[in-house]
Amino acid sequence: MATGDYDRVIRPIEDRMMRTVWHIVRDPDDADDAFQAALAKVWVNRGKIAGHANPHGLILRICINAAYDVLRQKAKQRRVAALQVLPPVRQDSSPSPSERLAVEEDHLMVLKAIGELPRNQAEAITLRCVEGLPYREIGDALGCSEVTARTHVARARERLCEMFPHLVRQGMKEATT
Amino acid sequence: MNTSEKPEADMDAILGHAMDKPVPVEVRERMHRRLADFRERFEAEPAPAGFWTRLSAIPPRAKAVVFAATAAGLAVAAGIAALMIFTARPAYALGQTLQALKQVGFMHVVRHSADGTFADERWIEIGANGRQVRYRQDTHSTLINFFAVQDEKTVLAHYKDKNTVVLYTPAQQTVEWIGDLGELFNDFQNEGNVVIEPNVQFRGHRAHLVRWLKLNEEAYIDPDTKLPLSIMGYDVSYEAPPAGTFDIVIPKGALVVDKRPGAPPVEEPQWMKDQEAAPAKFDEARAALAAGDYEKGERLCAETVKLWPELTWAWYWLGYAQSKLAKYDQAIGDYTKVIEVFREVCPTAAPPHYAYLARGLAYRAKGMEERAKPDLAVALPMMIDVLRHPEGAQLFNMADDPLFGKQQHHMPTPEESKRRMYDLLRLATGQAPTDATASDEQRLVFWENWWKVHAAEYGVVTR
Repeated sequence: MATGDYDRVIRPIEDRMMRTVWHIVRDPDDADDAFQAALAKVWVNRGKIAGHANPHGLILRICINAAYDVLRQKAKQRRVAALQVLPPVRQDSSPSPSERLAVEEDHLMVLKAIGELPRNQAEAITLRCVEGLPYREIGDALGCSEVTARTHVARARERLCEMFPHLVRQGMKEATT
Repeated sequence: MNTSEKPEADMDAILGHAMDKPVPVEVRERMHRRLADFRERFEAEPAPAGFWTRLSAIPPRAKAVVFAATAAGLAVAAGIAALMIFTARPAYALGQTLQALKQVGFMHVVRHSADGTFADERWIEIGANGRQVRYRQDTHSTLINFFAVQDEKTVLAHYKDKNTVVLYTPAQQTVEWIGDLGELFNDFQNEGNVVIEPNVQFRGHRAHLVRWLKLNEEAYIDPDTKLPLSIMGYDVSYEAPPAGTFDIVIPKGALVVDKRPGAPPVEEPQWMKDQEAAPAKFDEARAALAAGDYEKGERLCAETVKLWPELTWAWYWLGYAQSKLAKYDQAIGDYTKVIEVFREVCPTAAPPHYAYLARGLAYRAKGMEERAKPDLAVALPMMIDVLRHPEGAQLFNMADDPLFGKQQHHMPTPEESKRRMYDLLRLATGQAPTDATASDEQRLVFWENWWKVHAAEYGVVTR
């Protein structure tokens, strides 16, 4: 295996891989875990990547999944405490200390909620809205048609809008005033 | 049109904004180190010739659905379930779930791998009595590569890595996910075994969350159909399987070991003999540990894991013996093995809190507090929860008594479990209520408040 191959396949998307993982987990240790898991997965799936229509898309998809797996695992570990000890999240709790923090919390909630979507939808909307991939490439990465990719993204958006109506209304209000 | 007039556009903007922050330098440096290691691996362990060079030339191929495998995770869980002792409380959702399950003909149980393919797929035909009639499992991971089909007459178990098929009758051996699911739910209606959180969100839909305390596992129930949508991280649906799903077909070229009555005798491969010998050795090891003979327990556990490397409890007790012998480095390795096997075999299941606790204490014994805390951070919330739900102490109790589950052996009462947990919490944190006469409720409040205040020291952010 020549070093040049790594440089050709992995290096061009190193930054995107790092950004994708970081923006989903937002914790240095979790990011490290997720990134390591993603690289291990890339190694295990190198045969699949080689034959894939969109290898870069597939690698990013692996990163997205690794990051959400870490989030899910962490959520599971904390749920026991959350069920009994912690106050209800967001809508029932008092406002955050500052507007900026509140916005940040909202973003984190949305990102975490993506992890609860069906896997194809979570992958599709992340590839679309975060990585800015065209639908054709998303379809290649997911192994489905462009039309199906559009459907996954649309359904993910709809579900997120349903889950966070207050954010959407807030966004509309801010944008129109 | 202003994009914000469409809620979907707002959501895109929120997502875009959420992702526009730079990766911190510290994180970036760590990731670069990972990439450097990764690159070295490429250089040290070459891929097949022409592997990467094919990348740009190969046309799109159809989505490959890989049916994958893992027997042990849920087998472990089901085995633990078999050890349970149930005591009594009615629960609203589960009674209806039991009835609903009796109406379904088939269950399709799936766990996906990170790349979206099936890592574990099972089909179960359920009879009118709620019990399994036919079954199919296809599981693969780096540890387990297993396929099985069971019909009314035959059980075929295909150990793919060993290219060996073993045939049994159902009377000799059964393969199952959760053998008697309806009855299991029925049992969980008993007092203290479950906590139900109604009307939570599950993948964007309303669902009831059912926590099974003794296994520390969860199921999400569809409020309309009352059927489980997800059990222990597995997706569950109820469609009929494709034709031939339960056909018994022996793979070409596989070694066949027919253990059915009347079949001609055949020499078993050594790995089968080893696995059959492992439980007896493990029993001997547990007896030695219970008697305080840690050297003997260590030796026998080490022999057991050689025979059956996926037996997580053998790894755990090996670590226990080595901790007792102050061989903390080895013990940490053994506890890590428990955690890794769990993660590999059943990544959607709850982590083995008892192993994290044991490893955290072993790190602490070595003076490695910075390594101890992340492990204790996994275990402590569960340990504190046990004070409220003592039935959740099951796995901690198993990890505390080498003879747990043996016939005639004393099973801790909920009261004893709580007392034991007070000791473990003091051991893990060095803390305890100052008032020795504090009631259980006061102790519970003490520990819940303590965790709220100190979670951040353990690297856990609570809201």
